[in-house]
Amino acid sequence: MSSSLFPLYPIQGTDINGVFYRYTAVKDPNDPYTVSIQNEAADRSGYIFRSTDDWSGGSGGTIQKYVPVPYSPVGDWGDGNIEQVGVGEVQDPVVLYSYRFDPDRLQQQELPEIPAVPVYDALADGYVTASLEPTDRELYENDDEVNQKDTEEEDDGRLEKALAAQENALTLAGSLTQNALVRAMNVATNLNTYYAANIPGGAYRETVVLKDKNIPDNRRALRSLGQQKLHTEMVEEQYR
Amino acid sequence: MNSVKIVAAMCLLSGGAYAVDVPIEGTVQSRCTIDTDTPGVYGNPNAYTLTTAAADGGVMPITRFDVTLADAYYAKVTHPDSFSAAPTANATVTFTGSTEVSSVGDAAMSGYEAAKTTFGNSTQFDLTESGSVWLKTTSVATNGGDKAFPSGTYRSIVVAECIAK
Repeated sequence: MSSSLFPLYPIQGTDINGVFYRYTAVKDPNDPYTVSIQNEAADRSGYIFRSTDDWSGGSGGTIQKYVPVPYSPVGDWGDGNIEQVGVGEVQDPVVLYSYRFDPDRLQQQELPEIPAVPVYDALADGYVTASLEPTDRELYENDDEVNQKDTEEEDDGRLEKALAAQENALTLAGSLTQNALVRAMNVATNLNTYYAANIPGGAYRETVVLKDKNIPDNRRALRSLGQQKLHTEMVEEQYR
Repeated sequence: MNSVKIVAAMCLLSGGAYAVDVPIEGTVQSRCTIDTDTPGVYGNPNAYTLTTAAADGGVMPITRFDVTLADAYYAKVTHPDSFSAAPTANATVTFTGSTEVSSVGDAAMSGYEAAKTTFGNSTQFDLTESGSVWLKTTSVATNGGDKAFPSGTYRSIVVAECIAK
């Protein structure tokens, strides 16, 4: 007895409803020989499908057969195999399964959570903004020249100071004394200026001269005031 | 007057007898069907030969016989002896051929090939088992004198019959 395995892959929602197979049996007419196309049950409880061809007494040949089976989930079907008993050989075997597929029975697979990915904002990156600053070559060159001049001047100043350090020691002391004297002299000068100020004065005489001796009253104003008084009295009358 | 009335009434009664035809129908389902499984193609291995042999670029026609009643029919296949269509009529073409079992639907049919009978261009198989059997036919046409076939399309017909025993 010999057998060859062929796997059957389970696909959700698929029901098998038939098996088609074809092979060529090569044998001597006098030899007993049977060939079984079969599938084990997935739970190893036996065969869920088995079709046996008895070639005993025949000369062999090519057989092709379709065997309908009741609809059964492909998950119930285990691996298939071709079992041979007797003297003979199976050539060019083909085993095909007919099935129906119901997509409604597909179980939804849980999708993995998508991790939150931080969004990189290039415009908020200090390095990027710094690199985006205007890059005018003249500015760099001017800056370089200024820096170079400053550096040179600083170097010169340091050198001069270093060379005149000894002489300046006495000079600085003397200059401080002179400054103090000059400042004192200036203060005295300023005070004397205020003390010595002379305001020109005397009597300021009247210079306005009235041409008319009598200034008459404004009669229109008197009339208007009389009307106003009368109005006020009338208004107050109503509250009495 | 009364006697006349009686005679008339008797005449009317005798004319009332009539007959009815009752139909009987029946349908006989076919228990042997024939289908073309594979149409044949002529290969042209040389200028003067047309053949269905696969080795020569041809395709052998395959006929399927389905029998639902065992041991009731013969399958008879006749390979062609002339072209049904050809560019020019040519009486010098020689036809040969044969028919053999291509495959069976049941191991018990493995004896069909050995038990077949041949007469003329026909091959007959005894369908002793119910089920399907596929028969393939070889056809070879050779032009006389090894003359080249004129260019064009050549067509021939394999005749398959299911004959009741």
